[in-house]
Amino acid sequence: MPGLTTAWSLGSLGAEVLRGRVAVTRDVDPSAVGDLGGRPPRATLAFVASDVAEALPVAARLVDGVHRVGVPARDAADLHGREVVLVVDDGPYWFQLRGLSVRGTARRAAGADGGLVWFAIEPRRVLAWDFGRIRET
Amino acid sequence: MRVELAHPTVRTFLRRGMVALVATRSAAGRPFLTPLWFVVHAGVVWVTTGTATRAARNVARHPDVTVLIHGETNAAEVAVRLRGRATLRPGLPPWPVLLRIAVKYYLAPRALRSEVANVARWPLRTRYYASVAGGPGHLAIVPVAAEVVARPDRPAE
Repeated sequence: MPGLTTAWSLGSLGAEVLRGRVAVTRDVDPSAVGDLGGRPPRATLAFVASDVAEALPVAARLVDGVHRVGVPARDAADLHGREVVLVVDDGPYWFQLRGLSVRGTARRAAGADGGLVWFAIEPRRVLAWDFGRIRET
Repeated sequence: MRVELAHPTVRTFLRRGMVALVATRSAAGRPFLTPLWFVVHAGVVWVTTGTATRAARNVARHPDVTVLIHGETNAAEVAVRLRGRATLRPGLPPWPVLLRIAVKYYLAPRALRSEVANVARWPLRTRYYASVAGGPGHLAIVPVAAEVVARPDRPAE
């Protein structure tokens, strides 16, 4: 009785929606926005200094699965060992918004590519979103 | 480079920028960063967010925020950073702000093309907004200082 089964399934789905149990999400696996690990349109690092949330534009690279950020030397002094949040993101309009957020600890890394001081982020939490892939969960 | 709020570069980024990276501090002193749409009205930067989102809760405890606005092209060599004080307000923003949001993000030609191309997803978006923590709210950020900062990924070569 595939027809009845389908009708029951659709009815159940409708009831779940009405009860708010079918959530909607724009979250994706970080690999789905992996291209942002190259040269993202926006790369920003946040941390707290002197009790104020700071935001820096940074160079961001995903190297062998490790998120690295490059900052000018003048901004590098206080970063080692700090809790940081890196956001790389793209898109101006609703269905084009996508990005990746990495929360973790900044550790000084070797290299001076581009005249920048580089840090690797020891991740504690990684989130990714793509509003163009909004869907029911 | 610290500049006046009326500096031409600041005004240009506030007018043309599409996404603001809003940095806030949690009650426990931890950093939080979220990309948000913004418009400027009456000298105030307005961003919409739920009243119980992390950014909103942080602002309620610590109103000092930093806002970074990147150029919207990969060729932009600088960004604009604003220091400001934010106020969390419940409900939708005032109608002049809503109108600016509508024109900037829904009705501009490229925005409209994106909206039309995704018309089948509008119901999902409506449900997504309905699930935003705490219901609708917005932040009114009064800038107190501005800087033009180099983007390290965009060397002037």
